[in-house]
Amino acid sequence: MMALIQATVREILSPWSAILFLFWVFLSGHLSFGPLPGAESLGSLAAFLSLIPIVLLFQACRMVEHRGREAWRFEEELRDPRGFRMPFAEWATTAFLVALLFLLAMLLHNKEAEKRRGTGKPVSYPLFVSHQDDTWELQHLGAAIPNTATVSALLTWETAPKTDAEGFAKTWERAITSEEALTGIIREKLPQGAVVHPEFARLLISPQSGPSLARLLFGQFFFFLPLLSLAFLLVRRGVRAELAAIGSLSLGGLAAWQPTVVLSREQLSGFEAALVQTLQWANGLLPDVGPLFAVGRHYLLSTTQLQIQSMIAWIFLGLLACVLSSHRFRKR
Amino acid sequence: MPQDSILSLNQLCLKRGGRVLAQDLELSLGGGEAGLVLGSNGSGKTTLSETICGFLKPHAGSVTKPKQLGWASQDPRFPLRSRCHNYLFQLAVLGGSPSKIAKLEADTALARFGLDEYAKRTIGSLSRGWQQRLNLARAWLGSPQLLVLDEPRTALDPLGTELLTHAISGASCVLILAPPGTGGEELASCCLNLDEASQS
Repeated sequence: MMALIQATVREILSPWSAILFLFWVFLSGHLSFGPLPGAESLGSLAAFLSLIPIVLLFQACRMVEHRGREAWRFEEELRDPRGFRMPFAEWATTAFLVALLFLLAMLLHNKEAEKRRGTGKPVSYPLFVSHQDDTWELQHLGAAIPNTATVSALLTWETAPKTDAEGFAKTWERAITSEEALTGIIREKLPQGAVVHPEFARLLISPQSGPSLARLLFGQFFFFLPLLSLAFLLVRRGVRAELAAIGSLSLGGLAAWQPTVVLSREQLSGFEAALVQTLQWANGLLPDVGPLFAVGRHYLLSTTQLQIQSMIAWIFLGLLACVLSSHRFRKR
Repeated sequence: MPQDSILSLNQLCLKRGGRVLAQDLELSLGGGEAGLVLGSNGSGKTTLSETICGFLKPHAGSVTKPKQLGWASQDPRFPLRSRCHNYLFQLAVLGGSPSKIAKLEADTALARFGLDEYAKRTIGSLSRGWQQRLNLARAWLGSPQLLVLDEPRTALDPLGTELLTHAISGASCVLILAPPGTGGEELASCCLNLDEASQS
């Protein structure tokens, strides 16, 4: 079986695609330590890395589809009467490649994190400064920011202070409100004559505590395994590779979907309401595996606990698809 | 039917697309024997080869065949992006051979049809004639007990034909299916004519 897996690796992974995957692992590591607030998070890295199993899923499905067209059906029937060796090798190879690339990403991340961490100090980000009279507006030109962030600025006075206690310069710092976290705009009425220097206006974000990268990638690995089985099952039953991959990923997306925004019926048209209702109904039928596919900015990561029943049901679905995909190609 | 027969067709009836192609086919081949099935286009040669291999069920009658069987189809299809050696290696492993033996089997099969130099080439880069050699090498992979060769001389050059003749003479049991007048009679110990079988 190992030899078959080894040979299938060469079929799925051409030298060029291997280089591209490695490049993506390195780039993901680099991007997740980027200059945007919240980007410096494991959730972002997990999101970037989730592209690896998705691309591998498509590639493996295409390989299986080609094999179906290229007389593999006959060779499987002649050489493997039980018909499980090749389907299992295809599944195991893809799973092995995902695990290998995730492991590499983890090793690289640990090395990088060791270099960057250590101080435990908050990371600071620049702010765009504007004002109207005494009301100053400090804006983070990006998306939402964590509500645990603080804003800090250096205030100076153009005219000499009345008392020595005021001084010529003063540091001003405060925590942001939930509303400010959403909009990214911090408004403050400052003492008369105070000037905020743009180069010293910073948004400070303390390092977040949350799930480890190992936990995130482990979850992702188990999220994608059943989807692989399902996609291969569909391809072996004669469904086109792209369609099978999209179908299984859609099912995964639906299972991981956490409906958070509640819209009233008045805000939706009849069709939209019916669509949302159908999706919610389908979501309810599937095991809730949202916590397995936890990606995004760290402070937005799903905090819901994975139910053990959901996990078992998800793995069972994957095993069932795996057993059913151990079937020769549908006769064309 | 002799006791030591490797392949035997018993009262076999072939049907495809609702049309009976041939009936009451009888043939028995033992170790070291080569059989020839002649038939013009549409007489049922490919249907017979696929029935012997087990891809199609016989309409009536039965086929007795060994477990290890090599098949060279009339219209070979390959994973064109795969490399010749890797492809044969995978098939050998699929057949249950351990890694080292599978490698050896792939080497031997390629060498038998003069494909050694093309081992690392992708199948898609081979000409039709070389693909036919690979088709034959695939059939011979693992030295099966029975070889079913559907129009094996198609696209072969004289050297390829010579290699095929040499390989057939050393095989344990071969069934060649070919149109009349394309040769092969000299290799066969028994002959079955599908055109006659369909008329009867």
